[in-house]
Amino acid sequence: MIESLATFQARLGRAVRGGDNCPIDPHSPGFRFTMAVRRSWCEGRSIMAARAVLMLMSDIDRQHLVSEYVDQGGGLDWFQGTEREKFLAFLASRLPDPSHALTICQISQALAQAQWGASTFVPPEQRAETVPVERSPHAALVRFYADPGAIMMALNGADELPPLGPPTHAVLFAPGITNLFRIATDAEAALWATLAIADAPRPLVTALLSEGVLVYKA
Amino acid sequence: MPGPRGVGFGCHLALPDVLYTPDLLDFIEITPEVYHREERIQGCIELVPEPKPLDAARRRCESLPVIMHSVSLSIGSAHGMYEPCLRMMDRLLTEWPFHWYSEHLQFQTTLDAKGEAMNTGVPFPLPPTVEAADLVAGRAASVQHRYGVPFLLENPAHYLPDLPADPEIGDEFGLMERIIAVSGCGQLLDLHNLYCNAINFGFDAGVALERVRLDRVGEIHVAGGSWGDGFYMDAHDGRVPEAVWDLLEQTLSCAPGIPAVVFEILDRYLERLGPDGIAQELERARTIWRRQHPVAGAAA
Repeated sequence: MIESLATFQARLGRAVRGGDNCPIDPHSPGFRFTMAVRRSWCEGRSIMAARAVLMLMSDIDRQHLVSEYVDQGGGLDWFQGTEREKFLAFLASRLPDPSHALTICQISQALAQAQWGASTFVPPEQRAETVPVERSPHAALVRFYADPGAIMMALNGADELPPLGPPTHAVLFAPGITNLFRIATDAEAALWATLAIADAPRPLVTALLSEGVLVYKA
Repeated sequence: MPGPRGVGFGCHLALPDVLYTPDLLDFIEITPEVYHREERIQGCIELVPEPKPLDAARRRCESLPVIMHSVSLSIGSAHGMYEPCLRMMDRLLTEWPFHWYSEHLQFQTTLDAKGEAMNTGVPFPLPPTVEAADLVAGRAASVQHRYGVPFLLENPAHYLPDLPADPEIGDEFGLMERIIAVSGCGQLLDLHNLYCNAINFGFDAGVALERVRLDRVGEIHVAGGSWGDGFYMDAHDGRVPEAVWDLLEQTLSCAPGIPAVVFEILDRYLERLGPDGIAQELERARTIWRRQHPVAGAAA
């Protein structure tokens, strides 16, 4: 008696995630090769999702993080955008803070969010000053701990990574900013950090609202 | 089958425009998931377009007809198809009309212990059973009806031995035959997948072709592959093997009515082959196709 399709698929699904009771001989070369292909696809999807961040790591660190992610069930998503979001979130929780790799990871996350927000962004109509505001979910502020140009040169493979120093630049990402990012002023960085709207000059708040850095609370 | 006839290629935005002209191609095969992302909207997963790459792809395809080849439907999952894919295709049908639609005869989601759908990580073949055949046939018929264009199912490559089988279905060929007979849909005959399975499971691909309903084949895929750990892989990583070109000659000489041949390569291997190498593969496919379609070839 052949088992139902649902049972066959559930058993196979559990087996590829490390469970037992595989409906195919798990020691057969074909099953073992399928598992190797699956592993390679999961790792490949992860690497494609965060290529720039991974380039800034040593081979050992890169392999370790990709392996850990895939061991935890990562790399399964068929959609690159979804996989990128998941793997960058994983990397952001694992990378040293501060580090150049974390900066590039945060930039990748911020750009994706800003691009996503840009597809529907419309500058808001001005409301009363008493209406509370918050950070847009499509905006971010990322800090560099060395000259950004030097980090980009390292990403290009043209140079070594510069040493980590104190924060040099803060970059704002938001859907309404031309090209989605720009250097933040000290006042903007402070406002982003504290959201002390009452203490901030109104034109500054208005400008950040019009760029989609801040949004009115719903 | 109405629609484009000749040789097609995927939409690879990294390649130069010069490859996407009617001089070299007759149509473009779109994998729509490449231009979409999953988003939870009001508690429901939807595939929403990523505007920049989608617009770039549409510009790339302006001068050529389009067919759709999705990869996320999971038509063989016992718990259900991936409905967001169907809703994406609903939208594309009006926004970016296509001449036919194809998917893979496989499954890539299963239910976990909590009853939630999980990606398997790689697509898996369906066991050649009556239950699987009838499940997919019903779904294929509904997909074809839903879009009002021919729906084709692609024979997959895989490495799993000893799939459970019903004697009246027997093997992958019996499974496809029954699905086609019951559903009224067609087959996307992937000759490289057939070649892979023939090597890895030890049968003669040329003889196996005799079991394919060539009168129901609406499209052919050719691709390259490579060896790993004693298996020949459907890697889509380079030139088409000579044996697969031979299978294409054999198929088209037996069934000159098959309208379309597509050369497949993954984005990550484009650089390895380069635009010139890709153009050579497309030219070769076109030469073979025109040999079997002399009138259409002369007209083109």
